[in-house]
Amino acid sequence: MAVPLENLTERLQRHLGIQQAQTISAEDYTADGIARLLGRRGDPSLVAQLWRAGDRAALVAGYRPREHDEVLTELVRVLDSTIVVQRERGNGRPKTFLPLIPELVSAARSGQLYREMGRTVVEGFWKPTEKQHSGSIAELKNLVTSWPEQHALANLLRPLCKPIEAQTPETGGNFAMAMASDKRLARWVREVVTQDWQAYLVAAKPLSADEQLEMMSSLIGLHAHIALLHRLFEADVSDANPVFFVAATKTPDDDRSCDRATYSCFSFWRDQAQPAMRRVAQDVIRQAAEQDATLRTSLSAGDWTSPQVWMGQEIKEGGKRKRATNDFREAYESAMHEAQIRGKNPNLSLIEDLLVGALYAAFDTASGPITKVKDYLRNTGRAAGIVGPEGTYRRKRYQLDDRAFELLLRLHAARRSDTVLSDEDEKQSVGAWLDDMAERYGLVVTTERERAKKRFELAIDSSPGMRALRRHFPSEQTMAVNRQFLDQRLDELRFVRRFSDASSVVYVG
Amino acid sequence: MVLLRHRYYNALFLRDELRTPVPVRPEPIARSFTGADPAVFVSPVLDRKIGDLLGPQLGEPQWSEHNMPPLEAEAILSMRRRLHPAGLASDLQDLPAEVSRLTRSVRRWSMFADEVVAEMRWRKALGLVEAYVQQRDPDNHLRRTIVEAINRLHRVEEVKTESITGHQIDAAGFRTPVRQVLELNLRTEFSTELRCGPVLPKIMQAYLESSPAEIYLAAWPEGTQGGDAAALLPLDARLVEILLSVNLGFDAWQGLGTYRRTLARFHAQLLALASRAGHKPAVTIRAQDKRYSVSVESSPTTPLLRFEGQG
Repeated sequence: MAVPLENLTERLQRHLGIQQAQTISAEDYTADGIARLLGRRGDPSLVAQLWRAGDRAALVAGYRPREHDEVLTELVRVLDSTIVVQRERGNGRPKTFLPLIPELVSAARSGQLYREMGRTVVEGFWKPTEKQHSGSIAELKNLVTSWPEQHALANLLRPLCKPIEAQTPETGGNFAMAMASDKRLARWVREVVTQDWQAYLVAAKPLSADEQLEMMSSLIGLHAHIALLHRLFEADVSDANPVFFVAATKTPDDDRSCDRATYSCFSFWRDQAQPAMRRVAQDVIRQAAEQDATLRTSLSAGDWTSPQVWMGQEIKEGGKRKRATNDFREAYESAMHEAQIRGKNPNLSLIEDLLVGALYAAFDTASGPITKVKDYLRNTGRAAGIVGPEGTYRRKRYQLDDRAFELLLRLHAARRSDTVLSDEDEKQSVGAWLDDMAERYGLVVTTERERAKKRFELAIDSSPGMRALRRHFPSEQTMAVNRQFLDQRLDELRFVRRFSDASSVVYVG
Repeated sequence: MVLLRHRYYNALFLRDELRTPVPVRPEPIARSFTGADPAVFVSPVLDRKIGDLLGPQLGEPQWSEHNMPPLEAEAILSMRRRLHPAGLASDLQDLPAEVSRLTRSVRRWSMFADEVVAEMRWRKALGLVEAYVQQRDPDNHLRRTIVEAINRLHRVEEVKTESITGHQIDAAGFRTPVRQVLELNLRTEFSTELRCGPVLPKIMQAYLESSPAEIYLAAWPEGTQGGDAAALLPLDARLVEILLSVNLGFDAWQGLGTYRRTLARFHAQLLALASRAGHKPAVTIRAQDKRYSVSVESSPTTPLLRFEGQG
């Protein structure tokens, strides 16, 4: 029996550094990350019981319906709009809660609820930060454990959640593996992610617990999003990084060309999941051929009989193995048949292409890994406030919403001036902030800035696949309009101080 | 009417370039004035006065018994004619927008008129802030104004100007309206003081065109030392203006605008300070005009929620 083919879902996740390509909220990444960091989870089933109308009375001492029903409903309403993250389909009951206390992070079914996303946070973001800046994990723990002190609801719910020790010493998550194999990603984590978490610890200090948690989830979302862009980015040049145009307009209707450019940019990066899966499929086929002599020789036999040996191949265990195996065999058989009819020459390159195509097709389903990767990109972007608008009625685009402004400007204000990536003398200026965002995250508001323009040119010249990005970027005039909108938003949100010499400085109160 | 857009008081708050009949580019500093733009400030007395100007009457438009400048007077006369019931029907489509535009212009112009209505709160706010920075506020008007407004936001009905109440709306209620039903008894009131950053010497003020200084309201649990641990609320003229409105009865949370987060942050710090000082906060929920304190009591089998009606 020949070696089985690797499951493409698992392999793509490993390649992209996503722990599990599943659709979950960024707040749950944070929850799982915090639980792993503190080694503590809990049993929030009593809190969840409040949502079951028939059972919640049992949770109230001396329950009297006439007196207690109203206040119980009010309490559930407050909790519902404040701490619920994931809900059950159909009845809308809570599945996961905000991690204001680690006991609200469920220990039961944690793999299913949180999909081990906290591994990316701990191994990919927090541990490298500790490596670069010793003591940062201790600071992070202090911050997280101080939340109940300023959050009356969290404090109230604590006695209802049984604490459970849950040490998770495992290492080698998919993000850590991707970092080990991708020098560019590792460098980005070392230089950008670690500095951002250092800045977060400074920026979060004056904020309320709600805001600290919100900012943490946004930052995790931002890092997870940009890290995925790095993995989707195929570049031949080592210092090129992914770039994208982001709208500063408030709504898509504010400027149509900005809107068009930003949804095209977002679609471009989302669609990179397809070539990524194709590359991974090619790796799987080549790896199988390397490991098995029969498979290897079948590729270059020069006839149509030997390659049929691949039809006996099975897909390794993992999600939907049986269906994927059948689909792969059928797709491969039909592709071979068609190629034969067309009189093509069965050389190595053709057979490999047919195999790659068949394996890709076997996993290209409505809820397959590509769809999940796209969901991941959208969810992480939404968490950071750089993908929107909310709701299902509009095409998603790259945009800066209030949450993104809050995150990016607070981080900028908290950075040490020697870490700001800009040539401006005044490192707190809005210009320096725009330069820094382009350098760190590839986030381009306007290419009027020299640094952003250079980043953009470097990215699109890095490989033939990236050249298409040029046509998605808008004209200089549109970018100038975008900059004007940015200035207006900064004024509205009171994030800038302007002086009579036309200089403007980032200011966070 | 068209020319009014080019008048000095409108140019001061200009955001977009004007092209005809004369090109005018906005000054970057105009963005800094946005918060104090009287065009977006609603004062019933001032707007009534503007409404009276536009009403059917004979004679030149007058403002506080003085004739208005020719351009403004002409614009008002023209609008009076259009608002007259016998006005041209074709004019009606743009009429509401033009009345709004003219009202905004007159609001801005009135800022420069000699007689200023008392409700121009931004002036009062600026006066309070400047007086404090220049040490001309021995009676603590600014601090008292702020403290009174904060207490009003917490639904304190009497005029309470010296300390911040311990019965507060949950800090997050400033950000998430649904959490306003949640009230906390922090079991302590909070002492307050104003703190001011360094003020530039006079010779520098003239050179730098301004005299910026950070102003904070510092608060700490009564009976403890404030010092560096105090909760700080950064103040500016715009926030003071909003808080003046709160004292006048406009105490809906929506009016706090982008300062909601600032206030939420300040109150979260107060909660943390009270907890650190050993005061265990009690949570109260409002349900249909009644308040219930909520706590969790331990029991041998399972912890239970306890609701106790209050008042």
